[in-house]
Formats: sequence, C-alpha cells, structure tokens
Amino acid sequence: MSRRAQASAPRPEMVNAVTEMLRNLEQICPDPSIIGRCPELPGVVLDKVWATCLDRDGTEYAKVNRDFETMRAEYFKALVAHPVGRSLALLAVGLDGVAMLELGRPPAYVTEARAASDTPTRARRDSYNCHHIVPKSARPESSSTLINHPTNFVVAKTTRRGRDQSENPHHFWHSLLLHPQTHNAPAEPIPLYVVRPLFPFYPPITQGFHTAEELRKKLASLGAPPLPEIWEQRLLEFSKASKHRPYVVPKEFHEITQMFGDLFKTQNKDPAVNQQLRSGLAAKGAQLAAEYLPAGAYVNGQPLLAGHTPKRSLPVIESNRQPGPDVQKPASPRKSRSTKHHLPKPIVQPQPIQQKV
Amino acid sequence: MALKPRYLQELSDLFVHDLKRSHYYRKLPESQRHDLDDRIADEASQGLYPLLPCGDEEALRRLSEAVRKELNIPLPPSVVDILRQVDGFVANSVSLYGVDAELRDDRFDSGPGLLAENLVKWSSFAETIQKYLFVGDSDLWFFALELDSGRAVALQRSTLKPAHYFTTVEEMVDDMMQQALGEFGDEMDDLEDETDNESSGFNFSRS
Repeated sequence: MSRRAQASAPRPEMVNAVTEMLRNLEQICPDPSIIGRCPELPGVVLDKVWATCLDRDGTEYAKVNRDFETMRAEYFKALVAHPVGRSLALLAVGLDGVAMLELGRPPAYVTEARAASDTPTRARRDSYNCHHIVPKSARPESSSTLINHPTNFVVAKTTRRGRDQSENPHHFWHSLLLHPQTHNAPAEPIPLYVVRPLFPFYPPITQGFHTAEELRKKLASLGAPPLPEIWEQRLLEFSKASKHRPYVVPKEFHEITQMFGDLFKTQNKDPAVNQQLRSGLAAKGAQLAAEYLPAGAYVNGQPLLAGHTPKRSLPVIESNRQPGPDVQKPASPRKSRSTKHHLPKPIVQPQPIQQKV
Repeated sequence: MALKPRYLQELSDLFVHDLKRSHYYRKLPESQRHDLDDRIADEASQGLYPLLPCGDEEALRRLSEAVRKELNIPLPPSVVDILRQVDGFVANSVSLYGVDAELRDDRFDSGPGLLAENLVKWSSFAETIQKYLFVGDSDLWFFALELDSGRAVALQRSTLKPAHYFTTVEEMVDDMMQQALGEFGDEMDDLEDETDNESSGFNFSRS
C-alpha cells in the first residue's frame, strides 16, 4: 500500500460497491443449505460466464500493478468499514488481519517467530491473496461484468507449509478448476465456470461453530455485533460442511499434488520423456477437473460431452450482475476523508440472479 | 548485482513493526518477548535486516543439490545470488520463495520454499515443467526465470503467459519488493494531483 493509499479513506463509491458486493452475495444463493452441497469446496459455487480466454496484450505491467494496488487498498479499507464486512473479516482473519486491512494491506499476520542463538530470526505468517473471480485474462461477453470491482474479488488464504498446500485454496481453484479451462481454450467465447465463493473471505472461519450463540459469542469477544441471520446461517452451514474444523483443501487433491511431485525425481533430461510427463500430468489434471466441472465446460481445449456428469456436486449458477456506474476519481484523495463514516448506500439494485442449482 | 538496500531495510522495518503489533507478540511471556527484542536489535546492530534473513551458504548448497535431484535442472546462479541476499518473504500478497525449511538448519517454516513451490506448480501446470523456474508470486503474477534464456519474467497468473520481461533477476526482485512495500505509483499519484489526470484502472473496470 502506498503511503497515499494508507492515509486516505475509501470513497463513497467504493463503500457503496462493497455494499453491493455483500448484497449480491446474499442474493446469489439465498438458501444456506447450498453451502454444504459440495463438502470438498463448501461455500463455493461455479458461476457460468461466457468469455474469451485471451491474454491481455498491450497493457503496461507497471500500470496494471499500480491500478490494482490502488483499487485493492481502497477495497480492503471499505470492506472493514462496513459493519457486515468487518464482522466477516474478524471471523476470517482475526484482529491482526483486520488491522492490516484497515491500512489497505492484505492480511499476512505473524503466527510465530523463532530466534535461536545461531540462526537468524524468522517469523511465520498466515497469508492471503486478493483473487479475481472472473480472471483478468478472460474477456467476458457480458458488458456488465466488471473485472476490477469488489463483486469480482475474494480474499483467499494462501498459506503454504512446504509442499503442503492444504491451506492454500487459492492455488487449488487455479490449478484444479481455472487453469484446465483456460489452457488451450479456443479463441472464440466459451462457457467458463469460475469459482465464486459465497463469502468475501475464504475460508470464512478459522474454527467450528455449532450454534448461532457460539458465533455471536465469538463476535462479541472480538468486539463486533452479531451478523444478519443470512450470514449466521451461511457460516454455520460452512462449519457443518467442514466438520466444525478449519477448512483444508480436499485430501485427494493434496495427495495427488505430492504424487506428481515425486514423479519428477525419476525423470531424466530426455525431451521425449519430459513431453510424456507433461502430457500425463495434463491428462491427470483434466481428469480431476472433470470431476467438478459440468458438461459443456472446456477442459484442456475440449468441451466435456453432453452426457458428462461430474462426480462432485458443485452448485452451478449463472449470475448476470447489473454493473454499477463507473466511478470518477475525485479531484483530490484528501477530499474523500470526510466520507469515512458515511453509511453505505447501494448504487444500483442488483439484478435478480438466475440460479441453476 | 545487489538488491536495493532501501527496499530490504523498509521490508525489514515493516516486518518488525507487524511482529510487534501482532497478537502473537503481545501474548508472549515477557521474558520471551525481551529475548526476541534483543535478537532483533542485535541483528540490526550487525547491519543485518531483522526478519528478512539472507540465505546461508550451506542451506544454498543443499537447495542447489535438491533442485538438481528433484527438478532435474541446475539452480541458476542468478537465483542463488538473490537468495544469498534475501531468503524469501511474504508481504502485501507478494511472495519471494526462499530456501525450503527442511534444507535449513533451523527447519523453521517461515514461508514458501523454492523447491516445494516449483514441484507444486510444475505438477499443476504441466506446460511449465523445465520451462520456468518459479521464484515468487502475487495476486496477479507469477515471477519466474525462463530457463532457456535465463530471462526474468512476470507471467499472467491465469494464463501463465509472459506479461513483462525484466532486464535482470535483481530488477525483478527489486520490483517485487517495491510491490510488497506498495510504494509504486507514489510519484505518479503526485503527478496526477497536479494535472488532474485520471487513471482508468482506478475506476471499476473490465481490465
């Protein structure tokens, strides 16, 4: 976060966009029971968008970084300034994480430090990325899909412990569900099934909650008021789906990743062998992806056949969000400071969302 | 070539600041907190960057061996030079992979390891096998070395296509540190304030 970004308060437009994002999440799937439909990915749906998978050529790298950083820092601050966003943040990333979000930084808080006498001091952190739900490299056909908008962001855990990626759902989504669809994708628009968590943070909780009362007590201990009922129910369903334990990436995916890793040990530098390995891995990845993706989804350049039935029951929706109006940058960021405590008001009423579950 | 000391210093300062305001630190028994403070002060007085250690030679040797054995590639000297100066970090969603914990004497897992991350990524993205050595990532990019050419490159996170080539690995890691500090664009902000220009990305956009 730039010093400027740290100092400024979120503009009313961003505060409104956060309200819109939370309302959209509530309306996408009003039935909380959908949260546990796929126990391997609780609280996640596949959102079908028509998009062309192209590289964003011609966009300057430094400008992309700067624009995204500015947007993201403001988004984080607006998210924790919103009463519901703040409570959800407290449950997902704790007080330390919220303190970082307030500064416009993604949560990456220290969980342990070690200072042995003969080795340098090191600290271990839990870390998160801000994930684009519809990838930046996809060009959606719908003119209403905005890539750099809070409705397209989720703060996802990316903590890694060596080869153990069980606390890294962000990598899981990319490698299992997104990459197989975009890799070798045709140049024309295709149905792209993007990963849409039903929470602004994933995983949304770090401990189990059996009852709403437990949840409320936890929030009270963090100095936050209770959440609206719809969010309480969602969190309780998520807790139930993850067996009231911290969420971890499905074991079979984790094991296969490790198994793939072991394969490299036996390889030599023969290009033919390496090509064979690549093909084998791509096929394995495609096979795994097909267990989650519906008929019609593209995997490694080929659509899954009409009769295909995924083994895992990830709910599918087709959202068609009405865009909020583009927001003009204020003449001076300093002027926006007075908006810090404005109550959020929605810019637009989100369009009803067609649900295909 | 050396990484920019200012970025190393500022990252170290940021990490120490984060540690000292963390729940973990505040809950430490007083004696342990004092020990930690003393160690940090001691390292700073030696001209080191506390909580941003450099890789030690023995760990780097073990990493080179392990990379050769498990990835079947030599660890590029340019990467060794980087790790000698900074043994990985995670900040502001930017990660630089360090020496894997099991290859260091302390075995303390303090961030993503270079060997593990490449095994995972090569497993997940088969077309990158022995084409790229991944050295870090962020929300938008993977940072890598193109093994054939030795060029440092930022890859699009979703498509794994090159988005930007750097002149040197040091330039790339300096850029990663700059992003980790969130410092880029301050000069441009100032310019915009004066000219009232708008940045399209600051609006909610399709790109």
